[in-house]
Formats: sequence, C-alpha cells, structure tokens
Amino acid sequence: MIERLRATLNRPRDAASLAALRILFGLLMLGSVVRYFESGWVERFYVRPTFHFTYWGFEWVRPLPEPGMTILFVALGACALLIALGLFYRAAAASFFVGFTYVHLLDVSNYLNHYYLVSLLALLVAVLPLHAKWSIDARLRPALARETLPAWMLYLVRFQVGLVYVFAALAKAGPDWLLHGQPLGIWLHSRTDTPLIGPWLDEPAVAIAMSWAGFLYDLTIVGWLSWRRSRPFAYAVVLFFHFMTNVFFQIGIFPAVMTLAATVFFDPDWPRWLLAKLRRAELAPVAPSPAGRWTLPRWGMALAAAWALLHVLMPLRAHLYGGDLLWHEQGMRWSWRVMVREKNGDVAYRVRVDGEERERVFVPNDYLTREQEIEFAGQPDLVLQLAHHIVRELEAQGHRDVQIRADAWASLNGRRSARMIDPTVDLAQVSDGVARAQWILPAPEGPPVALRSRRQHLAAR
Amino acid sequence: MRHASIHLLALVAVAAGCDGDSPVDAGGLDAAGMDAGDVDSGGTDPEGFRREITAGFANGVILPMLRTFAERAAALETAAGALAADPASAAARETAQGAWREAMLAWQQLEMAQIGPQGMGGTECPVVGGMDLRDEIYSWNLTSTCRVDQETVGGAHETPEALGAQLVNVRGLDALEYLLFEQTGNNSCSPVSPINADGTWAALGADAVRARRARYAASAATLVAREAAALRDRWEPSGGGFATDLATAGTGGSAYRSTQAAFNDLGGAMLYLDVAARDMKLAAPAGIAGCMADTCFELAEHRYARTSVASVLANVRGFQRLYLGETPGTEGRGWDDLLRSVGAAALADDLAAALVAAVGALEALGTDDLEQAVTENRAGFMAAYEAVGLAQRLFKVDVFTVLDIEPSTCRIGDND
Repeated sequence: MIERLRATLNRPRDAASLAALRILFGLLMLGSVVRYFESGWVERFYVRPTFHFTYWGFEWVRPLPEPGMTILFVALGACALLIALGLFYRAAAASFFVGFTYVHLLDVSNYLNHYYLVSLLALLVAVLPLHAKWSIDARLRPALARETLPAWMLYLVRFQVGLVYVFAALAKAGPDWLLHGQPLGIWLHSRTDTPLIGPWLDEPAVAIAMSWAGFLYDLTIVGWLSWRRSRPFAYAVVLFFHFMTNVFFQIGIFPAVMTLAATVFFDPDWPRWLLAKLRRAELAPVAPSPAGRWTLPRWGMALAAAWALLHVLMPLRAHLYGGDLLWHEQGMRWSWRVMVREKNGDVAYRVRVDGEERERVFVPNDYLTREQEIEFAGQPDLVLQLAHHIVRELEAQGHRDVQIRADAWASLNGRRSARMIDPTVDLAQVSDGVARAQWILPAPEGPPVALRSRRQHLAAR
Repeated sequence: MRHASIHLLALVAVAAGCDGDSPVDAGGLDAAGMDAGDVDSGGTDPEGFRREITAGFANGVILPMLRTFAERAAALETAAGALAADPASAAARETAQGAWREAMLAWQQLEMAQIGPQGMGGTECPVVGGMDLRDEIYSWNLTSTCRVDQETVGGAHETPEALGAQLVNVRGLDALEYLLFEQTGNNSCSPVSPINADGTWAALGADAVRARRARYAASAATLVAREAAALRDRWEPSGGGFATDLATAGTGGSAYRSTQAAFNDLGGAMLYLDVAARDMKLAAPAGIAGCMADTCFELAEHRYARTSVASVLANVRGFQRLYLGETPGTEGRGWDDLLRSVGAAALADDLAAALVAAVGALEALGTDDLEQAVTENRAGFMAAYEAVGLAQRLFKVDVFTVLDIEPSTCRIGDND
C-alpha cells in the first residue's frame, strides 16, 4: 500500500508547470518589491515605527538599522529576479525565503494571509528543484536539466494552494457571512460608484448572493480546476473573481498570487501546450527524466505527511478557543481567514504608578504609526503587547507598581461598539501566550448591522 | 419610533444645558423637533444621494464656514491695523483681541474640515486637492513664540510681504495670539538665545516692544486675511471651485474619483476631534494624558488668550455641523442622513446626542479658560473630556465601520 503510494508520488510528471510557477512567482515577487519602494512602505512599515509588534516566540526578530532594511528589500528584488531567471537558483530562492519571512516577522500589524502564503510558497520553491527546466542554471549545468519531476512535488504545491481555498471557505461558513452578507454588505455599500453594477451594490440581496458565491467559489474551485472538462470555465471564473476582488478591495498582490497559484491545478504540461498552441505546433511528448535523488523515500513521505498535517491543524487550532474568533482573534493568524471581518477599534490605557490613586491616560498614537494603530485597535493580543511596552517604559523611568488597564472598544461587522478587553484587569499581570485569554470579553451578541439599500430606504419612508 | 428618538434627543439636549435656540446647539433639531436632514430628494440612485451629502458638506457647511472666517479675518486685519496705528491704546488692543477671538472661533470650526486646499498636500499621505494651506492660517502646534520674539527684534515683521517669506510658525493666528495677548513685554526665549545674550531685546524697551508687536500683528493679520480670502476663493464655485469638486464627487469633472473618496477624506479630517481636540487640547494640559505631572498647562493651546476651552467647544460645534450637514438657520445633509439612509438610525441618533452632550458639558464649565476649568471644576472638566471621548469613539469606531471609512488617500498598505 505504502509502496504503491510511493510509486504514484514518484511518477514522472512534466516539469513545465512547476517551471512556469517559478518564473511567474519570481516576477510577481519582483513586482511586489518594486511596489514596496514605490509606495514608500519600506520606510513607513519598517524604518519609521519606534515600536514593533512581535510574534509570540519571535520577539527577538528586530528590524535592521537603516540603510539595512532598504538594502534588504533591494536584495529581495534581486533574488526574485534570479528565481525567475533560474540563475544561482538555490541561493536566491533560499535567501528570498529567509529575507521575506524575516521582513514579515518584524511586525504583526503588517500580517496578511497572502504574505504567509508567499512565505510558504517561497519555502517550497527553495526546496524543490524548480530550476530543472527553463532556467539559466540548467543551461549552464545540463546535469540539472529535467523534462519531468516526481509527481509529489506538484502534489505538494497543489496541497498548499488548495488548503488556502478550502480554509478560506470554512472561515466564511458562519452566520455573518452566509445569513447576513456581512462584512461584504458594508464594503459593497461604499462602492456604489462602480461602473455598471454600482447602483445595485447596496441591495442586501446582492451582498448575500455575492457572499454565497464567494463561499462556494472558495469551497469548490479546486475541484473545478482539477477536473479537465470544467477547467477552462473554472479558470475564467478564477480570473473574473480575482479581477473583481482587485477592483473592490485593496488587497495588493493577493489576486495575482492566487491567479498564478491556480495554474498548479492544470495538467503539468500546460505551459508547453500553450506554447505549442501559440506556435500552431503539435504538443511533443517529453521523455521521463530520471528522478535520481529527488525520488521520495519513505522518510520523505513521512515528512510530507507531517507537513500536510501541520498545515491542516494550524488553521483548526482556532476552534480550540471557542467564542467568536473574529472578536477575540486567538488563532486568527495562519488560518486563511481572508477578508471576513470589518473591524475598527479605539484604545486608551489607564495607568497607575507608584501606588498613586490617580490614573493617567496613555494613547496609542504616542507609540504607533497611523498604519499600526488601525491594525492594532481590533486585535486584543496587540493591545496587550503595547500595554506591556508602556509598563516597561515606565519602569525604566523609575516608576514602580505600574498598573495598566485598557479601555478598548471595537465594532465588528457593523455591530455597535463594545468593550473588547475587561477594563478591570491589570494587563501588567497578564502574560501573552497561546492559552485562552480570560481578559478578553465575550463578543457582543446579536447579528451584524443590517444595512438597507437606497431603494429600501425610500420605500420605508 | 423615529419621533420617540427625536424627543429623547431633545431631552438630552435640554438636560445637557443647551438653550436650544440654535439649530447647531440643539443637535440639528429645529423648533418643531424635526431633523432637518430628513429632507430627501427621493432619488433612487445611491450615488446621487451620496452626492447630495457631499454637496451638503461643501455648500451647506464648509463654504459658509470659510466665508464667515474670511469676514472675521478681514475684521481682524482692520482691528490689528488700528492697534498698529496706536499701540498704546487699550481700547484698540481690546478690539483687536476681540477680533482675534472671533476669527479663532470661526477657524476652530474649520479645523474639522482639513480637506481640499486646507488639507495635507505632499506625496506621502495627501488628501484630494491638498495644498497644506491650513498651516498658513494657523500652525498650532508648530507655534514658536521665541521665533516670534526673534522676528520682533528683526525687521521681517514690518511688511506682510517680508513676513510671508518666513516659516509658518512665526505668522498666522497662533503668532497673532502671542503678539496681541502677551502683555508683560518679556520674551519667551532662553537666556542664551541671541536676543537675550547680546542684549538686543533689552535694548528695545517696553514701548518699542509694544509698538513692534503691534506692527507685527498688523502684518500677520493682513497675511491671515489674504490667506482666508484666498482659501475661500479656492472653494467658491466662482473661484477655484473646490466646493463643486466635493459636491460632484464621483462624476467626471470632480477631483474626487468617488463619493467614498470624499467621505474618506472628510472622515479622516474629523478625527481631529480624537487626536487634537481630546488628546492634545483637553487631556495633555489637564494632566490626563501625555503629562506625568499633575497638570501641564504649558501645553494648553491658548496660553496667552486663555481661550482653550472655547476653541475645543468650537471644534465640537464644527464637528457637529459637519455631522448634521447644517449651518445655523439652514437645512442640510450630513453624516447622520447617510447613516439613516443605510438603516443605522440608532447610531445616527446616539452620535447626535453624544455631540449635544459634549457641547453641553463644555458649556457647563462656564469658562473659556482651561486652567481655570481644571483647577476649579476638575469633575466637570473630566465630564467634558469623557463626553468628547464618547462622541469621537462613536464616530471613529461605529460610523467608520458601518460606512467603511478609510481615512485619507494615503496608501496605508494592503488588506486581506
């Protein structure tokens, strides 16, 4: 049984699709780095802030002093180009993975699901020999060249991409998204200027229909892309879906990443098929290349299984916490909960020092940039982190017996704002960690805001 | 139900100590208890209705505010000119001080509307049409009174043209406050500052200082009046037409590519209530926030005119006018109407009530002077601080969420 599975995983598959993935991934990452410079984000996200929110267990990761961060981004761009070219591939891909992951471990307030996906794909790109075809390395060193690669490589990438879709769908399987059409309804209401369809976007039925469409898309698209007969239509839907998300939302390279990643579900010879079509030529069969050292051994199968299990369990950990995940956000990161909440908050800290009765207020904007403040205000663990920073700062100034409490309010998917953190809890006495946070108050009960359309408003008058 | 909430609002207004005569003071309720914002053209196009709101902001609130300010700035110029002609006249000084107070109250309402030409320009985080003209009129908290003293010793203050070539922190309404209200004849520079170290200040003598400050004030007032008129003209449909840009947001000829872009800019500008009015103007000098001493009155906005409470009250009233889309004596559209139209009437009512309460709490202090309010009525001051805080929270958290407001057009990063 295991040997049959191993034989299947080691079956030679055309290397073209993984080579195309490498090229497109490299170019996309190069574009992303250029975008960072063009938008001034290197300075604004990594140089200017005087305080950075760290990830639990990664508190030691700190930004480089300037011009270190600028040089690092230049190096990331160079690595991305080398990945696309397939030149010095191993070193470039490994460096890109380490550099990109380092950058995105610097500040939690910059966390995005698609950056996490890029990190994972960068790791796979670094591990797999994707320079075996259409690369300068393979031209310079013909021993590297392969027409085929073992199937497990393609399956691993498919698993990683498929997981994003499946868990993104599961994250939407709740009453806010499916019954109330929120937060999509809020976002569509503010986009009634969209050409052609704009006048209908404030209709609640449209929000619910689009919510269901998004849910079903995420849940089933991997299947439709994998089935050869439905694939052309499915990819057209992928293009349309991500075009629309790009029109409606500022989600950066995410649509491009997913549009590119979806190609892994095609037949592995699709780039050669496409080139043949463009040249009006017949698709020539490829001779299997020896897998050699890339043959998956038994321990390799175990490692791949462990990798898969880890990435299934990681998003599922959120369910251990109970309550409304979108409110307490424990287990929110690394779990593909993409675009499922509209949340704004307001935080102020009440501080007592030196045994005094008097409370002083500390406001976040004395410590955070505007970008950080927007992200932090709805995430309780970040509110705790800043509280600890304020305590450390006051203690360093010679104050003792520092007590800090938070007036933290948030509105989730248009519900009326409610306290997010117990105002009686001294956060100086609370440790950050993975345990369930008792200091976070339960989510407000009741449905999200029920927005009505202009037409409904007039009818109700 | 709707009427019940209106009556509740009216009750809150009365309980908060409002006289109810002014549509603004009464939270947008007219004498009949009707919300003026309920007037609705009935168009079914959501963008059309949203443009009625942006038009309300432009023509119903901001343009009238700019016209009022330009008038008062012109009056200030006249009064400052009279003082320069007779620097020893107590009556002329008092008149100039009164004109400054009136101009400042008008400007403080406009502080809430830092969009378009008076909004932030530059390349990093500009608002649509931003030209940074706000600082040309009032550069608090960049103000440097020592630099004003240095310019008093120098000659740049003698003409508006020469003064206009100096940095914004030595002219504008903030410099004028110092020049008109500082009565001791001393300067605010350190002993090692050149004007003290080399004796040039001491050599002037009290009369010369008074005369120079009066001439300086006249030059500064002329610049403010010019800037006020120019800013108004940039908004006037017959001038630069920015009011038309805002009123027609999302149409082909507008600088705003969508109504949402206009809401985002104005929403961001109105966060002034949060960062500036509540945190910097109220909390910091009172020792509530940003101050580890009992009080930090040196951080007060108007240390010389002692009108800090009045300015915050004007800020809240400016916010209230924008929120309701109204100018006293008129009917208009504002954020509350937008909230009602999308079905968030309870939130609209709550924020309207919170603003009435904030105005009432500030008025209840019974003084324009922050130091007096803090030292003599700390409980009342705290109540005012909390009331302003509630209004800003409802706006910043609840309204922003329901209406999907993302302040400013700066690229704040991606989302997912």
